[in-house]
Amino acid sequence: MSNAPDHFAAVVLPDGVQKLTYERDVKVENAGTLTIEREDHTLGNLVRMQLLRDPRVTDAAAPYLPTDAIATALRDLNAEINLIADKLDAALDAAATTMDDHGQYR
Amino acid sequence: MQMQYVRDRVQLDSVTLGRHDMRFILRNTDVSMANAIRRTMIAEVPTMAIDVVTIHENTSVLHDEYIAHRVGLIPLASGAADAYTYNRDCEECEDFCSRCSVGYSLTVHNSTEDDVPVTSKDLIPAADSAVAAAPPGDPVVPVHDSGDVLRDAVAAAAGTPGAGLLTSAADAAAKGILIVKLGKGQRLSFTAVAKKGIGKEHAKWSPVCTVAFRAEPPAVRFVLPRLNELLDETAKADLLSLALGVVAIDDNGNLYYDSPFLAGRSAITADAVRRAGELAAAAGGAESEIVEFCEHPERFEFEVETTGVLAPKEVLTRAIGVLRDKVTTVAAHLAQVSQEGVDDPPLL
Ligand SMILES: [Zn+2]
Repeated sequence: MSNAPDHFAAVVLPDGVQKLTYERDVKVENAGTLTIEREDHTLGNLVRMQLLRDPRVTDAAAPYLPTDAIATALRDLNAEINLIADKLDAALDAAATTMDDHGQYR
Repeated sequence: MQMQYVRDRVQLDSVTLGRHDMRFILRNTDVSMANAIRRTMIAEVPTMAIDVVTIHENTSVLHDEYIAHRVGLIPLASGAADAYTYNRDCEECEDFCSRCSVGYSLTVHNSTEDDVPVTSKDLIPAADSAVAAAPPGDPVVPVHDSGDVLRDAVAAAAGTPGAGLLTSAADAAAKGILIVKLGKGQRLSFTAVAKKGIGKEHAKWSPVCTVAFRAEPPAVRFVLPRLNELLDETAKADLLSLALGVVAIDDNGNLYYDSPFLAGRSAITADAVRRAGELAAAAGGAESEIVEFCEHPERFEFEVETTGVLAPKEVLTRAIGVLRDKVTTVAAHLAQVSQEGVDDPPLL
């Protein structure tokens, strides 16, 4: 019918493509390129900003593998997201009561 | 390893819930987290939407593709979306089945003398068993009153119920969402199949109309006490002309922040910053004294408005789950890649 790509092409990993590839830099120690397939700014910026919180990343003095840095960033992000989920549960419990009292919002 | 870089003071509170909208405040975290939550709510929470339309008969004024597009955009209640598999992943069927799809049919013939509106109310779950209806309890049916919250608010603000505006959810639900109007003797008949998807594939799968957040404090602020000290009346008036809605001048001739700025509806422009710097310099001050930058806002006020396919709190809850899955999936892949010998010496 047409040569348009499937609309899920931006979401589903094509056959034979790795979700994640890592290539060590050939010249610089402690550097490398991590490529994540079928993700966008949502995850990319989240991981980038979390990496910048790690002094072992920003100081660039001590030997520190990029893969370790990213693993740490992802683990810490996961912990933060779990905290947000817990806070949301508590906040929703509180919010539900307010809504019952007033019947309608606005 | 300890979690030494986790923002463990992160807080989510002040939730206000409406039927189709919600507000909340996220604190003590980074813009990247606020933005990831916003983007995930818009583009990655799975919902159901009509993806295949087979037109049997169409003598309306709109062509087939136009109608198919409009039908695709009708919001479908998606509380049960998680119970469906993605059609592309479904191993139970070649085309469609009840595990991955929901079928509908619509047949309208205008045998009257007047125009007949064809709406989401005419869309009925398909009778044939190959594409059966949704699991009981949470059916995937059109949300006829999508968007009525806004219309309610507008009507209430105007103080005139009616006046062309729907005044209640019941009215909106009774009317349904218009697909096309049929003239005398015209017919429309089609079958449609809804599938699970996400907003990243097509906007029709997005559960929200909008998610916005405002970062506090604003990125750029004037140091008003210093400005008041430095500037004379003329200079203040000069600055005011470039910063209307940001600052105002009180009875004592002092600058203060105006309500639109405090409410986040206006911001300080680059021109205003430059002018303030020039005026301060002329009065013997320095630009660095009168402007402060806040690089790391830590309070984010969110506003969410849904299309009605999911309750607002469901959108947020599911978005947080999606984000968590994303992070853990990538972490698992990374662990795998690390094991496969990343630590080997480079080839060159
Ligand atoms: Zn199937």
